[in-house]
Amino acid sequence: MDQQREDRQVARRLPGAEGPFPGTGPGRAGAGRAGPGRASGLVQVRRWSNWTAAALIAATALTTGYLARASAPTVAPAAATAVAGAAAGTHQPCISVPVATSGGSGVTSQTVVRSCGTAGTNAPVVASTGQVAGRQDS
Amino acid sequence: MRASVVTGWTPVSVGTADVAVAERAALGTSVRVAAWPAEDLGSALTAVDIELARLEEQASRFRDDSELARINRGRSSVHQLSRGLAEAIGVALAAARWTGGLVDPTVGGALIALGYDRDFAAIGPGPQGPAGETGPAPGWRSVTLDGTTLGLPAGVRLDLGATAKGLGSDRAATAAFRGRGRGRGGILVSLGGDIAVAGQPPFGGWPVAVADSSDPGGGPPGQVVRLMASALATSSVTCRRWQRDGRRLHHIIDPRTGWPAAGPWRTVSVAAASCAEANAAATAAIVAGRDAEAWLAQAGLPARLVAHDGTVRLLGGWPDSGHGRVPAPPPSLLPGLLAGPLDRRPGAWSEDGERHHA
Repeated sequence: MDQQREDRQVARRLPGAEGPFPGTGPGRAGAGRAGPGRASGLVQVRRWSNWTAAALIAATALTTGYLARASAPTVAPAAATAVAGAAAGTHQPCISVPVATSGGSGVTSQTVVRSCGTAGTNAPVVASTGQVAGRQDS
Repeated sequence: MRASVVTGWTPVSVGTADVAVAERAALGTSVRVAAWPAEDLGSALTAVDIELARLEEQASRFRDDSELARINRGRSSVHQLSRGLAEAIGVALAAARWTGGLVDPTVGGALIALGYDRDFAAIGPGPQGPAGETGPAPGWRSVTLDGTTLGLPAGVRLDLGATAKGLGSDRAATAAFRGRGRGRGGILVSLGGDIAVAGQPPFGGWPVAVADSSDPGGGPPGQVVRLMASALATSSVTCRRWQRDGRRLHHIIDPRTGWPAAGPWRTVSVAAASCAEANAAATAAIVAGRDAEAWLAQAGLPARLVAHDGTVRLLGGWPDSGHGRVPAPPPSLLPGLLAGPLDRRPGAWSEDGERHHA
């Protein structure tokens, strides 16, 4: 069925064309062999065009979706609606100075300023995770 | 953008305009609030003010007009509570159940007998008169709580010190975050060093110093860690110390003796799903002494313990380097603890101090 439809499309005249289709008129030598070859080529070209267009549409859709997802802020769903109206400048800040001290009640102080992501200059810890080292007596 | 600061709060510079910080005195200690974006600080401070005022009206042992002070003075054994105080006492009883009584709200009488009977600023560290009679606490099992109806035997005095500050931080952080009305951003509330966070942390987490001394100018430096979520609390016997009859005392009472805890740890920091749990676990570890490491490890709580000789123990994935992230603690135990007895859960102590294993 597809073959018939494609044959009809090949046989359609171009605007302004007169006379028989090239290679199909009576008395033309070799007309029976050259006509089907050209038609077959046109079919191939149209097939490639259709597939190319489909691939382009699919690629565009995928790219659009990816970019939309990648640029969306990572927030909880409940807060997502508020993000659209959030003011500019709500990027996640980077802070290196301790904002608070967890110590015995009433202890509140600041320590040295360091760049984000750098190791601190704190006192060395003398026992690693889960290990007991040194004496425990007071 | 500069944040406006509510009256009574002092702005604190942290080296960036993107995060705003302010602090003030509250509940006999200091409270510090950090917010990003910075313009959210004003609403956060207002919300924190409201929550801390409520907590003080409900649970302060040192304000004569607080609900808890009236109950402690009362002669009746049955009391109708506000919902807020009922929650605070419920959390204290849940913590007592969880720790097998190592933290116990009925130590109020022992604290009073030892001289901690008013705001600590009015006591001072110097020598005082002889201590009163003290002994084992009456025990949390003598207290009943049915909704907002409290049953308290005559003469039993409640002190919510092992959980109330943590609960206050939890409440304040939640209220401050809800009050923002925006999507992105985060809040940190530190009430006397008991820290709760809400929302999104700054990049890499909230940088928090962990101190093992109450003296900012002395003692060994602490560690800086990064808190991504949940809560972090520290209990220490190096602060709130005073003398009675030539004896040095501190505020962390062992309910089994009625005297200040005498274990090997001077400071314990714990991360937990809620600040009330972190507060209770840190205090329980001080009281537990030599059993503290095993219990904290079994409970899966990230913790940092500092012994009197300065030795540091790290548990549960607590970072061993500066600016390391505190690992996520296990889910909150409070809902289950508030619902019923969990004495037999792994990591819980029985009332006699014996630890139950899985």
